[in-house]
Amino acid sequence: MHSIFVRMGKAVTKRRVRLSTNAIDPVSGQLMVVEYAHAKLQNCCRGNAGQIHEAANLVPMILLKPHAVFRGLKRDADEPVKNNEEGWLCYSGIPTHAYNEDGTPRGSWPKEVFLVFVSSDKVVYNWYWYESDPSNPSLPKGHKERFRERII
Amino acid sequence: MKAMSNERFAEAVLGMERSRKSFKPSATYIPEGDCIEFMFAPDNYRAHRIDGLVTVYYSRKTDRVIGGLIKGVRAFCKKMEEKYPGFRMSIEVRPVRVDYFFLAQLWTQPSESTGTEFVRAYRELLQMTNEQPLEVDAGDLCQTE
Repeated sequence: MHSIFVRMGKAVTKRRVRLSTNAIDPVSGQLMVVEYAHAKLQNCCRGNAGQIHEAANLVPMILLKPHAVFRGLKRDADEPVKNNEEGWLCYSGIPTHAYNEDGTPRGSWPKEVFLVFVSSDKVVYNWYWYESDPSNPSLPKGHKERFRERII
Repeated sequence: MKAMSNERFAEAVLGMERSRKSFKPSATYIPEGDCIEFMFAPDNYRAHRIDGLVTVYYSRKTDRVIGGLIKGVRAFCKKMEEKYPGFRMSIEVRPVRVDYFFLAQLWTQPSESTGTEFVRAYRELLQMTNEQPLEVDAGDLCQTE
């Protein structure tokens, strides 16, 4: 048995050159530049080949052509406001395809949507497949309870 | 600032694959999202939000929890510290065990909010972290700046 350490001090928050792509700005409808959290990309690269292809291809695809974009998270009355969370965006869409673990393409996962999360500083920090809303398959299940507002 | 083209971005990310090492369970703090992502296995997965703190990743092969995300880490610690000052002592001793977050969430939930899925997910998370302890060598977690 061995332990895993996660460093959360200032050392890991040092500014480094980040990868970037365009995303649709849900308010103006114009393109905006988003950067990618390096730690998340590194996590993907420790996973399987399919996860790397998801990061490389599906994330930019959804950021440019989302079916919906949500802003802000709902929270309990006693929950403190998290750093700039009101400006966080969640892009939701159904990509044209998904990936097997060996990196070969396959059809998108049925009854699921692909979600991409962007911080208020326009940094993409997470993404994953999530169960879709049975009444609207292009939206994530529980979106009304989870997000403050839908912009697109 | 000008963005990379999608093609160049894909090339850069796929290039990172070439330096990929064999998988090891790991946990990472992602400061931009104030979250900890942890993985026990490299399976494909679907995510499921359990509550405001934890989203778990279920393996598509086994349907078992193989990872997840702890969100709003610093805000959660601040809230815990205000309600239960002793919690600070737990997270002051470094490195902090990741399962402390699960236990803190479990022990402070009203019983009506703990449905079957909630119980199943947290039980699996505790089992997994018992087999493979995860620890966080952290800064001041109660600082919300």
